Amino acid sequence: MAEPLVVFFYGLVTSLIFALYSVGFSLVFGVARVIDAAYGIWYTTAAYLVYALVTRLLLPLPVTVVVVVASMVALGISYYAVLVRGLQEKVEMIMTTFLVALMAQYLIVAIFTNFPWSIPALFPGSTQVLGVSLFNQQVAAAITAFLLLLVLWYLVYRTKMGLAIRAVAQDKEAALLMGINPDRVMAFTLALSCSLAGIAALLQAPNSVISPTMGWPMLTLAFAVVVLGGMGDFFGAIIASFIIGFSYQLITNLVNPLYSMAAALAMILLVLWLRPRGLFGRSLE
Amino acid sequence: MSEVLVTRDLRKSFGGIAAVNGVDLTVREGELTAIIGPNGAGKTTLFNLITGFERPDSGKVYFMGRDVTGEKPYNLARMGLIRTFQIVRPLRNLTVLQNVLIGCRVRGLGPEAAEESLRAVGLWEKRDVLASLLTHGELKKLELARALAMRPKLLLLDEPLGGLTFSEAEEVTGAIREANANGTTVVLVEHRLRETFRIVRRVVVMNQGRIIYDGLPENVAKTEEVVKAYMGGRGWVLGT
Amino acid sequence: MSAVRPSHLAGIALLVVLAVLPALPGMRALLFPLTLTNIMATLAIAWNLLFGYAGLLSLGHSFFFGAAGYASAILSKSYGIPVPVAMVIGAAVSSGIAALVGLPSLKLRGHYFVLVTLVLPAVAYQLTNALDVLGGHDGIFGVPPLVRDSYAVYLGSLFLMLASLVASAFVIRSRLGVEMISVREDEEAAKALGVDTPRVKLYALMISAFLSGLAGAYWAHLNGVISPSVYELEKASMPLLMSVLGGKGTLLGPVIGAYVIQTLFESLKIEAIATARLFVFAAATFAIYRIFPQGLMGVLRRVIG
Repeated sequence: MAEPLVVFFYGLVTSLIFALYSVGFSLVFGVARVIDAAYGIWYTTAAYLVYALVTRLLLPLPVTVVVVVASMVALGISYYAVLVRGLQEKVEMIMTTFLVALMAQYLIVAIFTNFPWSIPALFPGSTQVLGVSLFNQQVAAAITAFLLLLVLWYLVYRTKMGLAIRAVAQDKEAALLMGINPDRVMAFTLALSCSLAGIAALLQAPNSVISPTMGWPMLTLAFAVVVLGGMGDFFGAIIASFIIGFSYQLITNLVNPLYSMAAALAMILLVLWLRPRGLFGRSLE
Repeated sequence: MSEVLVTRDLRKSFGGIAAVNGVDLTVREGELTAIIGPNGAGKTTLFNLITGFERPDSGKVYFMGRDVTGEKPYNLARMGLIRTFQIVRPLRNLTVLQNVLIGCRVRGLGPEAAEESLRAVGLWEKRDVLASLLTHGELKKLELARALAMRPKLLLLDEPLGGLTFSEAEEVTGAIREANANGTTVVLVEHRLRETFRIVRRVVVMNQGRIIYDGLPENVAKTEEVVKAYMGGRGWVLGT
Repeated sequence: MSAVRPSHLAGIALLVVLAVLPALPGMRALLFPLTLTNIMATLAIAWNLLFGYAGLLSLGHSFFFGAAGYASAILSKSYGIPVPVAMVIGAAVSSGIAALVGLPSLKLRGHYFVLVTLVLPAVAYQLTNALDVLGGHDGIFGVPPLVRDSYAVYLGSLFLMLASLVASAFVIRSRLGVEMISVREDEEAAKALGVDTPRVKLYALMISAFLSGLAGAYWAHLNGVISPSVYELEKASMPLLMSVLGGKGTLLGPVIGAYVIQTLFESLKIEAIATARLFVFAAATFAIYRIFPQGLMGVLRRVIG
């Protein structure tokens, strides 16, 4: 009876990827004070980029990875410089970024149509672990996500840039006085978050089908993670990702996959109701 | 005279810094009081605690004899406890008159209350102008008119003279004095002491979250503790 | 106020044209698309009442639209309740759910409300897909029509749009409307003016959900079928695109936006552009939003005034 192991392993994979993805969203919220309603579309965009590079241009894996990450960094910086920088008010931000998301999504539809294309596994085959058969793609995804989370932690808490990021998140004016250029920090944060969305897509999308709307559930989950873990809270986001990731896989495997998303989302409503400041109550806002 | 507002040992801290640190303040009907003090003395926080925009860590607020600690701002406004903001907060896409009418309607007053208050501050001619087109001075007047139109039992003004020219300040102090003469109890926070001291009969000085002086305007400058708080020991510029 | 204004005359004339046009010979093909346009305009009016006036951004109005459609479809099909009654009950169901989920989220800051509206259709999509009681993936078929005659259905949709327009005009001019605007402009200042902001937001949401629900129910009875696809993003984004394009926070903006978009939608059904038309709308709306925040209404006003 390998059922618990299956739940455990897939819960782990899902949670790690959620965490990687959501931390990006959380950072943008905490540092740039931007609720990026287009955050789902960056995931979608990266997935289609992977699809185009792998199945149409037949590029090898390392080249694909480099191109995807570099494109997402460029995208994040130009997104900040052209649009996000000028946004002041919260509702206007959500509205503008939402319209950006719609445009990008319909552009993808115009180019690739709504057909559910599939991306082959970047790491084909499967491995037996403790009697459970695991796709190599997902083993690789789990390991990569875990390593990247460590790198991210180091970046935020142990480097000069991380210090600048945290200073800007605390107080923009005070950061200015400390000689930090908030503009640069925010551009960096946007680039970081976009590339995290891209990497999440690189890990998750291969070995499955892609669709132009695939980013919306991810955006919703990132929002859920941030609500649960507290806005702009790094560790809160990671813990929340694990709570959501595991409950998602539990329901998928033990109850019915049709309910998994609904249950995860219903949980957010419940948390908003009972603990609006997040489970750990140390949210920024 | 009956007590309109009483605070008992009001306290509020932000991240370990006590913004309001045990304030006992009593305001009686018909008074015109100024709260002054250096920046960061806790004046605006005190206003926020009284008007329900922030919840005190401890202590009580009584308005017209009722315990209103932690009551919602809009309920307090409906009861006649009206405030203005230090930074003007007009509803920019509404006209001057519409801005004033909202409060009147909430208090169940007719449009004549709006007209009366707009005339009192000298904005009646501009009633159909969008608030976004007003000058800073006019916005301050609008803010005052909006509050006056609600026929407050107690009016808390947060820096009503901030950024005004001398002649504008003259008009606004005139309107405040007139409202007070008509029976409105007023407490105002102000930095422009010269104009303020001309109209008030009671001054409360706050420093580091506490009240360090409460009495006549004439004696403020003679109190050593106040002088220290403001100027670090040197004599200070009062409206001499 | 006493004399009839020329703009009113123009409005009545336009209405007569709209009412008669599809009845003319050779114009029957317009009936269905125009009926659809009126329904979407109603949904846009409802959305705009909430965002344009109370400043509450909803990214999930498809939920209120769809939930009422489902409720009305089930009530009329399985319980034999007369269609008009079922529609009203359906809309009330939407409004009730809106109150239930709105109550906690409206006390929080604006962006939490946006989150909740984003989540609602996603949950509804999953649940309707999973529950056989709600027809599952294929949805509910054989929803009885309001009336058999398609011209009468069209007139009904025109009436629905007009009634929503009058209703929102009424709301906007009432005390609630002024309070909604004060919440949109500055929530803190509104509180200081004695405006019970959570309650104002709740009422605005309930009214908006009710009107959206009427539109959704009408739509379900028009098509005779309702499926989980009603909760997809396209339905949620349409009222937003229409209102912003036409002019958010203006009474007629959503109607103009709906007519412009739906007309283009129909005329762009040519194969070559079909896949790109949604992109065209989104891009046009984005450009309008950035350049003329008041939308086509704002442009119109500038041209006339």
